[in-house]
Formats: sequence, C-alpha cells, structure tokens
Amino acid sequence: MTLTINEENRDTVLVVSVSGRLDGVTSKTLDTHIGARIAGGSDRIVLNLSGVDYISSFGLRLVLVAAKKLNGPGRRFVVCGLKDNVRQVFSVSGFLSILTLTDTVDEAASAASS
Amino acid sequence: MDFAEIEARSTIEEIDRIVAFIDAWCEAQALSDELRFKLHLVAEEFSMNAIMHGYRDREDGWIHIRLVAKPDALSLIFQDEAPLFDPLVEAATPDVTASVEERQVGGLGVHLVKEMTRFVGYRRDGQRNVLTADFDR
Repeated sequence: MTLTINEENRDTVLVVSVSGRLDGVTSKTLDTHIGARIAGGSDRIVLNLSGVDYISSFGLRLVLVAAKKLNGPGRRFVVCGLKDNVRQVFSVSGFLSILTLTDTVDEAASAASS
Repeated sequence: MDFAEIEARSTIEEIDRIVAFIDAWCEAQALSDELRFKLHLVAEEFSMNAIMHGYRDREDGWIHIRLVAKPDALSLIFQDEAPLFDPLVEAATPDVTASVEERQVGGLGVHLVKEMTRFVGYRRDGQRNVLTADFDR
C-alpha cells in the first residue's frame, strides 16, 4: 500500500502533501496523522492532493472529518491540487461546493492564512 | 468475450493484490485512465463492504472478482459467501448538498458506485452475495 506524506510549515499554515492512493487502508494512516496534528494545535491546514491519483469513499471520509474539525473561527482547512479523477469523485459527492479548494499550494496557503 | 478473475481472502491485506489484478487487466485491454479509475473504485468499495460489513472482519472468508470485456461495455461481477448483505439497500442516501457542519460522515461508498456505473445490481444466489456493475466503454 503506497502513500507518502510530506509536511511543510508556511508561517501559521501547515501544508500536508500526499502522494499515492487514498483507499480504505491508506486513508486511516492519513486520518490518524492529520488528527494528531490538529490535536497538537495545528488549526490552519492545507491538504495538497496533487500527488494523489486515486481516492475512494474512505479518502472522502477523512477529508470531511478534517473539514469538520477545522470548521470555526480562526480555523482553516483548504484542499488543493485535485487531479481529474479525484475532482470527479469530489464533484459527485458534493464536496466541491462545501470545501475551500484551490489549484495550487500557494493559493491554498494564502487562503488558509487569511 | 475477454475475462479475468481473482479470488482473495476477506482481509484488507488483499486489497493490494486486487489493485494489481485490475491494473494488469486494464493494461491488457488498453482501457482509458477513467475506466481504470472506475473499476478500481467499484472493486474497492465492494471489497471493503464485504470485508467490514458482510464478513464483519472475519478473515477466513473469500471474495471473488470477475472482469468481463464486451465490445461496448465492461462488467465487474463481485461475489462473496458472507451472510445476506445488500449494500445497495443498506447504505443511507447521503445528502450531497449539506454543509460541512451538517454533513454526515460515511455512506458515500455506494453513492460513488452508483455514480460511476451505468448499472449496479445485487442478488442473493444460494449462499452467495452477487453484485454486478456495468460500465460504458
């Protein structure tokens, strides 16, 4: 099962970049990772999915859980870099209209720091 | 009619092998990335449903996937021997217009399967649960 997680701090924003598949197995790893960061005080997070070519309902679940945790004053959750197939899954699930989404990491970091 | 099939144990450790099986078949059939994506998605949702809900994490069951290529369509036939479980009926229909706050977590697997297929059906065949998904090609 292949999933790589890289992190980068941009001022007050934590950028989490993911590569590989977000399926029923790997999504748990990322869910635990992001959950720990939020519990540790990261309240502005960018999830960069530009390296993700596959997502199932389990990946959507972790995205929604993170969005719920970071929904509120002073909290930000921005998703960026959706590939076409991933975007289609977001689209038919109604996620395009309820999440803050950008094309690039720079735009996402800027949206998350505002 | 071209087809391929795989039998796997009812454990999530088998997902990798199912992924490789689908990739190899898509390669051989020269399918588009979009179709490959849909096959992966439907195979995973069916498999995880059977493993978690059908077999309830019992790891000594089996799941069977058959892929069939016809001139104008593809079919994925999924079978297991878990107790009667129809995911198409069990899953609640998600409200895809709800806000982040109101949105319920879960229930998206079957919704995605329905969105990605031309047809999806369930039948109980003796001791088997049989799910069939058809795709336009």
